[in-house]
Amino acid sequence: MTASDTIADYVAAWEAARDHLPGDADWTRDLRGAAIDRFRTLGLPGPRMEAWKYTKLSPLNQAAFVPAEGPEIISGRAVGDLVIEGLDGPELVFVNGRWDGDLSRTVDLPDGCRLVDLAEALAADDAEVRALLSAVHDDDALTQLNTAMMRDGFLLHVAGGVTLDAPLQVIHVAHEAARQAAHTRLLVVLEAGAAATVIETFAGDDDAYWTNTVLQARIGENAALTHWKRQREGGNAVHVARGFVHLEAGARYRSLTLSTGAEIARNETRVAMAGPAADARLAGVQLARSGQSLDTLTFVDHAVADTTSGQTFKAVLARQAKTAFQGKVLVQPDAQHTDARQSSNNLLLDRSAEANTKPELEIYADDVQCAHGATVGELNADALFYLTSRGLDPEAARALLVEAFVAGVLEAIEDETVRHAFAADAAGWMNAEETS
Amino acid sequence: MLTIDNLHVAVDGTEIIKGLSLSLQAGEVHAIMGPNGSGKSTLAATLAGRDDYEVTEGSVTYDGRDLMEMEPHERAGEGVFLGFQYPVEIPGVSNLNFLRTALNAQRKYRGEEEMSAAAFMKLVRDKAAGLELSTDMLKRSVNVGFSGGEKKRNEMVQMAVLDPKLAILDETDSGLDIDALKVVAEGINALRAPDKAILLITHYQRLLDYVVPDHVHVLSAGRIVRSGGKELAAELEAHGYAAVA
Repeated sequence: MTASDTIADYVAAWEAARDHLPGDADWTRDLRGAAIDRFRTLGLPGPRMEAWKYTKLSPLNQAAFVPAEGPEIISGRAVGDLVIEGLDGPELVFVNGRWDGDLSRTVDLPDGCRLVDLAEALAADDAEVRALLSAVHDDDALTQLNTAMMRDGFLLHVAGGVTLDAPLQVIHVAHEAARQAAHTRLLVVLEAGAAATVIETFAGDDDAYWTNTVLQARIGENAALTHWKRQREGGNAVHVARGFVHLEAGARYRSLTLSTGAEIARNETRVAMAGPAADARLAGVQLARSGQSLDTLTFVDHAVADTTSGQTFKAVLARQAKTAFQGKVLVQPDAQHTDARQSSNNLLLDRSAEANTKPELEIYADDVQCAHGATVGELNADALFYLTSRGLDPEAARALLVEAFVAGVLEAIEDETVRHAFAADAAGWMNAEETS
Repeated sequence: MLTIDNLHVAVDGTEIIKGLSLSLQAGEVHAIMGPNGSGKSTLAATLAGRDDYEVTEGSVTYDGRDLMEMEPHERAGEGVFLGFQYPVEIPGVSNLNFLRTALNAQRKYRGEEEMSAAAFMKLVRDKAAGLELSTDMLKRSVNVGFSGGEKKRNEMVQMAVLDPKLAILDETDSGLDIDALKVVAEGINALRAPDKAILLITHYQRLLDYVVPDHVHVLSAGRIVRSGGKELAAELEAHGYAAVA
């Protein structure tokens, strides 16, 4: 089957689904129609594009991955260990891209705040959802396909000055979803002075499925969004996540993604710094084993003066693993006094692994502080000997050094319960790596 | 306890230790002294099991077993401790976590129960206080930001907590001012016991004013060229290695 046949299959799947997708309003139909047309023209992204140089989507080219026809009923046990216990916040569960109301948990939110299912909001022609969906001007084929196909997801709206103390947990789980695609769309709006934390967990079984999720966040003046994410998809999954984050004056966005799962994963974050004193902190840890390709892309657009950003990404690669970091910082002509820092540090546990790192600074203002650093190294032999001479066996010594390598990044998570959950994932990876 | 017989060690194909023989009995403290390049650190690293140190001839027997057949962590489990001349910095691993992991790894190796967190904290606080290392420093990453003297005291805290049977101390006295030297010497003396042995490797005689050895050996060009009692150290100090060797 050729690539164009596959594109035709993706489009045919949309045509078959279009009348069942939520949203009857003309604007919804037009939005979806324009998106699928653009997808048809663009085709699936490939290595011919610089931004897709390292992410090979070959499974998606071989046959179309289509959304589940109906909701899959799964046992609560299947999601039990994906929820971080003791956080007391709302929990949204998506099974194969479909919202599962039985497994989800709602809590009362303060006045002026709302958390609604996207499908319901689309069906109800929600004005806020309309405004948000119409505001994305991104020419990425997979975002277009998400727009054409989106069904479930959510809108979280936090009223001005309100802090949601308990985080919103979002569990995305795939269950017997071979050749299925989940096009979830997550929308977060924080009004001025609001604050919220969103914790996403992606997981699934060993089928070859595709997660294609898009997050849009608008963070108002002096508002703060914290976004922690665990990507522990099944071993044959393709995971593509794209985040669009818009920061007004004094707004703050902090994110951390821990990637251990999927065969092919790509986590892309695009941040627009639109007001002075906006601050973005992006972090990530990629733990890759044999056969995995885990990629991170960032684009931080400093459009106005007096904004700050920091990026800290680390990758640990076992034998034959592949990772990529492509991080771009754009400092526009008016963006004087920008402070932008970026680091990408990579640890190879074996020389057969491949870490690609490509920091990119594009600076058009003259009074700025910008720095980036990239390293690729191996475990320190002196440190290994020091640890083993004290009684640690070589595997334990390696595990301790790997843990130390990533621990600093995870410390960005202040909440101990959440940080421990992430650290446990990282430790689990290391233990599995020892025995493989 | 330790018998080194005609040991030859090569590093990158160059022979550094050239037929060294030495025997330590339980309860003894031996000092090996020698000029730079005589093979002191090579001997220490070989005994602890560092990679790339190739034993080309001879043998090392520890408690009746072939020490060279053991991996570094097995040697540690059997009670061998190496005090490093240059203790390694390990960012991201706290001293407490490191020490507790090491202690429990050794206990597990010997088939003993893990030590509880409370018992461990009490032990490490006691030992650290004696060596004037604050609890705050123990919470920090291993040796990161430590002065030379603090690193050496940290080695002594590790030794005190791990309580080895055989301690090999590689220039533990180097880089110390006199006050720190006294603290470190007390740490070494505290380990002296009828069932333990200590091998001090040093360039200078001054540590031996505080830790009085039973035997002193002079190492030169990979061989022990003279052995004697504690008075040999004073003779070296007065006349230099060239005169003695």
